[in-house]
Amino acid sequence: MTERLAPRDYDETEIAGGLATLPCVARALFACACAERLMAAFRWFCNMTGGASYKVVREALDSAWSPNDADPAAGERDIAALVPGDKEGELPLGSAVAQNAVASVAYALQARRTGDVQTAVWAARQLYEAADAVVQQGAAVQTYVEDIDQEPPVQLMVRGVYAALDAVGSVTSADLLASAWQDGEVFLGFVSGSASQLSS
Amino acid sequence: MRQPRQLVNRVNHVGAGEPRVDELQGALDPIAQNSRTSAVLSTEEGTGILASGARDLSPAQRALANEGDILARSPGAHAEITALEAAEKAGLTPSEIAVSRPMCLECHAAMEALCGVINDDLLGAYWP
Repeated sequence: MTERLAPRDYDETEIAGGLATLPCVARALFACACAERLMAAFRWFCNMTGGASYKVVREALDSAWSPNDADPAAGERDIAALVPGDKEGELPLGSAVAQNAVASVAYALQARRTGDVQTAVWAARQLYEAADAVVQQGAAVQTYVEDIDQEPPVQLMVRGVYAALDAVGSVTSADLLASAWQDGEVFLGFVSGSASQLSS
Repeated sequence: MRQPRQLVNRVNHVGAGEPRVDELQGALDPIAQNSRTSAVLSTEEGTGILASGARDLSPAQRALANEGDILARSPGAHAEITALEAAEKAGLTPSEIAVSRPMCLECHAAMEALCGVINDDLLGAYWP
């Protein structure tokens, strides 16, 4: 697998252009690789909050990884309905990442069904937003960290998006999954570390 | 003829913030559009304040800011409250607010406490 090691800016036009050259099944696998990178953080979030949705979301992503699975455990609308809204009261720490994790799985399911380029790009966007949310947890109220592309969580996720894009046409889904799983565990370190800093 | 205050309250005031809030909400992916709320608060001083609820503005939304706009941020708070807090912090006077989803009772009360007039559709308020 060829990984781009130099830091890159997140560019959805470039990602869409790359996806457009790939067959539909590869676009779906790319979306799965994106979603997988948020699953460790989502598992951590569900353990922290007692949320019961991890199992159903995990099973949905597993079915999206399996192109021969004719009957996915849950449809994309079922999964999208699990995304917590911001009108449901104050959301606990890590909930922004959880929102992105669940949305990315919904987009992975949709990409598997449709092979749509934009749907796969939306799956990738969840990584960028989740990393941004982790970075912004360190900002003072009413301010934002401006140059997020230089921040390690964002660099990790952007590198992961492009690594998946480069690899998806040439490696097995098992290799894509393994790489995404590793990135997800590293990202979990950022999420849980950020949470412990805020609570101490 | 001037309308009685009660009738003024019954109309939907459409201001400059409405197209901007549509643009702000439209910068989100479809699932996020259904789960997040965006707000644009205009002020008498001419400064625009952009806000989103709970998790605050996404990178794509922040990229829509015009020069001089304030990007509001108040983790966990609703978009409307986040925008009002930013105005207060900057010493600005609210003139109108447009939101992408109907205001909840809590935000409704916060607007009225500041003498804001709520639109019938709950998608905005203005300060006469």
